[in-house]
Amino acid sequence: MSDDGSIGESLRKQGISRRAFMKFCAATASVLALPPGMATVMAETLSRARRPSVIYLSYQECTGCGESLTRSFSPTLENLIFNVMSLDYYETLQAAAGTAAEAARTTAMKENWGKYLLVVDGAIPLKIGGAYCTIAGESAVDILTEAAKGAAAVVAVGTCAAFGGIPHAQPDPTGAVAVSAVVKDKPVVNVSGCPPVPEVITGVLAHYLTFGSLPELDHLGRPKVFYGETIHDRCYRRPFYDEGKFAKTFDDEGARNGWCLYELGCKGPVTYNACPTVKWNQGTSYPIQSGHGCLGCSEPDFWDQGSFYQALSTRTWSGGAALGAAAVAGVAIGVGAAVVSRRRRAHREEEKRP
Amino acid sequence: MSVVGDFPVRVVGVEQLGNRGRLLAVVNEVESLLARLADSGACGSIDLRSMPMAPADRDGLRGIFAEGEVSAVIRALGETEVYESIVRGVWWVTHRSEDGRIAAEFIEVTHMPEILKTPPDDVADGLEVLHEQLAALDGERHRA
Repeated sequence: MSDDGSIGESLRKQGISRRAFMKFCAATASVLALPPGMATVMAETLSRARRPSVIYLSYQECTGCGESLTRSFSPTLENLIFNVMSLDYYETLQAAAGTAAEAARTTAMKENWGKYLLVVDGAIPLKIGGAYCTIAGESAVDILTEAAKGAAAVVAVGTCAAFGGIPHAQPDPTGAVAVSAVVKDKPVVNVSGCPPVPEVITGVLAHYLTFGSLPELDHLGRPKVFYGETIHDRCYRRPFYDEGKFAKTFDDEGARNGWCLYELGCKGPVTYNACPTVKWNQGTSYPIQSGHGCLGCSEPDFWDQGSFYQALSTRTWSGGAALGAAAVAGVAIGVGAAVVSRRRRAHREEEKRP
Repeated sequence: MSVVGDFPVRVVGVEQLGNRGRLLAVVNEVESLLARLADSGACGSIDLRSMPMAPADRDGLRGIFAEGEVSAVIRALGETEVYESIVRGVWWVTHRSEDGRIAAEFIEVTHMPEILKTPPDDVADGLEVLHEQLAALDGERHRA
């Protein structure tokens, strides 16, 4: 077979069979909620395409997003996403360091100007001229601004990159902002989450590689395919919410019976993400299935919304206007329970008063 | 506390949540797809991971679409198990990663799942391998 430099040829050289690649595409199409038949189209398209250049920049972050990405699917399936793209710069994974690393970035930018995919994780500090985060003497904001100029599209991975995240939390000492606050003339996809579900990250990359375009986005710039419904809408405990069955503490009968965690502070009704369907650790579980409420980590300012253990009904969540349709649908019993919860909490607070 | 079992906690897992009604919806969808396959030959499939099914729903599905006459295992980056159910034309395809976890799972309504067919590139590869074998045999014949 001729070497045409395509992704398919690259995979064949590494001994990855066509069926193995189809399997990867089937898993990716599943994550992207594409019709299952699209796996074949995806395999055809990707195998003929040339590997696009990807530049991955990391700023004010904890590397949790990178950890998440490198644990998508099994180690071997995960490798495939790196085989279908040319990851030309990623400080966490690359062997090069110092000037050699920076040279790799500038070379990739020059050779692929206008065509590369720019992936960013972490917030960008703006105070004191961006001095809180510098690499090789350049500020994060300057590197990002320059790199974004030559990018075909920008993907902000993680809540820090998407919305400022924890660096932006009060008192925000560094003036941390989201990627979209710096890059204003290019499409920016926000793949939020702390960290994002790994398959969601690879799914967005695979969508771009397959279709040459970015997926449809919601009002916060997130792909609708993953962030189109609330955690609550797709939660397997939802029937208990509808029946008004709630765990009151983490060790009561309701908790043991797997009832709804709404009264224990679950932010599922106002949080848009794919956790209930894609799940974590190769589809093993997600926080609610493991007995803990959703923290709302894929929403803006989730860190400044008060206690993770306070029911939504007892306080104001800044995203309250975006309460999911299903949450509203469950209002007949749910609100009743919320009122009971609020009364109970108020009663407890009254009891505490001297 | 010596072992975890000593904790006085009765864990009622999701497997005991019972049938929450999604089973009937999926079976009805399969019925529609199968009717379409019979009428027009059009294939269809259902992505089982896209639905938040309770384990009881899943067990119910497994019962209705239990293993029939045909089954196969594909070993490519982990095993993929494929079987035709007792409802002919309805296939259950489970893609597993190398550590055995399910990476994707589908009910396919088709004459033959795509993953079982030999892709054209593999046919070309097969031909190449066979040509090499023939050349080797030919060389042996000349040396003899």
